[in-house]
Amino acid sequence: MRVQPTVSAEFLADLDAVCPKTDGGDLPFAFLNDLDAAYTHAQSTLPQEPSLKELNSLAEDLLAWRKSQQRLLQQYLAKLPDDDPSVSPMSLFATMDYGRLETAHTRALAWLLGKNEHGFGNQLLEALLQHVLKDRRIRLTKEAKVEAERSIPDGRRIDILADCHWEEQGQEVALRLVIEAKIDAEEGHEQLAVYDRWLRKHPGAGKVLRVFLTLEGREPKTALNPWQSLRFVDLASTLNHAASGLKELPGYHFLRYYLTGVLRDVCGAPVPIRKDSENPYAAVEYLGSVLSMTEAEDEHGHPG
Amino acid sequence: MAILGKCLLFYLKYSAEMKQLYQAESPNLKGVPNAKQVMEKVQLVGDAASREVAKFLESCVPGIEQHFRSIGVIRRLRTNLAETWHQEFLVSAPRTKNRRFRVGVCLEVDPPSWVPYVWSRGRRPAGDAIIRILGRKGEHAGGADWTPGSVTLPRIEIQLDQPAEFDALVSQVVRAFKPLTAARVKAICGIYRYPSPS
Repeated sequence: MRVQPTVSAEFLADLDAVCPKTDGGDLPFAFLNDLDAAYTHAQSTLPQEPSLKELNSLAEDLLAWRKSQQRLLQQYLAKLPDDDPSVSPMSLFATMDYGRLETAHTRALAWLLGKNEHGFGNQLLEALLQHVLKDRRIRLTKEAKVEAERSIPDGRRIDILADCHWEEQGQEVALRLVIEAKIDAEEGHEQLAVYDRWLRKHPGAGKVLRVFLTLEGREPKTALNPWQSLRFVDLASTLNHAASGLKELPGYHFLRYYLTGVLRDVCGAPVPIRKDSENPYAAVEYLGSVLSMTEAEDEHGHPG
Repeated sequence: MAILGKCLLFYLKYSAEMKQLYQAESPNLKGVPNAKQVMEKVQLVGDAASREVAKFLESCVPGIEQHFRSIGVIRRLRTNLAETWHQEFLVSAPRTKNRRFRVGVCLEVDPPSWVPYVWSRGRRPAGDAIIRILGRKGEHAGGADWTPGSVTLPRIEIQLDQPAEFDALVSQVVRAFKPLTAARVKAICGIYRYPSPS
């Protein structure tokens, strides 16, 4: 059935003004030809709409893809321990609605790196140093003092500052580790430059290692000295790997919940990852990268 | 009865796959069957869904503008809706030019819903203040996609297993902003004071 278009009286009046009808009461043939050409052109430039058949066929392909990714996810999950942070439903700070609160994360990280009630000693700090310094075997010879929110002049605060000592080839190595973390905020005006100037005057007992901790591992914009970029996901993977040797210690579950929070609230990973997840793609990508990193670290003799 | 477009509903039903294949800058096609044909169809469906999102958001604009004009000042922030999938407005109380905040509507895919929201400068404390002013009728918007200080109003869920009536959804979105009364708009404007133009 041909559908009759409905047009307004105003349109018909305008049409009559621009194109008067012939004596026979019809529109001129030339005008109708032009109208037909214009209609054909307009149709060819209209955005294409997929047909129902195309949608159904696409749905079939997408479902097949989803199933293949779910199978891959199950293979990855089989390699993880049952209490891995990526399958835990509880995030430490999300319970307080502070999942992306920078100070909560940096204070908790400083507490975990230092020697505190958790019972880890400085093992997580050693694991982190070994990850950042690559190919070094680090066993701290003195208890490292780890400070959170260290005040410096100008009213600024360095997120984490730790003085570390270890032996390497019979020599004592001293290093001041400085971590500045950013979750949602950008660097403040000259923020890292202020830190760098302060660190030049206060380098501690040896070298200074500056670490800029962000979601995507971006380069800092305000630094005077080189800062090493570190992604939150790599921090989580490193600490998680070290955690496998800490299961019997009092702080183990705190660490798990902290890491779940880093993965879920900071990195946006689809945690808790379930084997029947309807969105297996991000989980497969995340677990694929974490497992390959873990395998690479194992080859290099990571502690823990 | 007009209903939400079929491509948008398809997009929402297969949002995990469409996100990977349509939104990603360089989609990972590993394991995708008939990858070339699938990508052509994904492009077609994604583009059509984007036009349907833009049409919906455009339909919400008059009602939202009318509400805020009756109690204050509103200015629409124009963007390509088919690209951004959200519409924002600047809102201020009468005679408070350097005190303003934003309201907006966006589409979230998980769960499928239109999300009306309010945002003020001042990061999380500003969000806390908005929630207090709204009498707890909002919550902090969570996740990496949201700017701190964003508060979502009650979401309008889109049912995928039954026809979603277009006009009814538009009305629900517009109604979601009704709790922002003149007094509350004034109070939210007071959260953050922009510097006066020099």
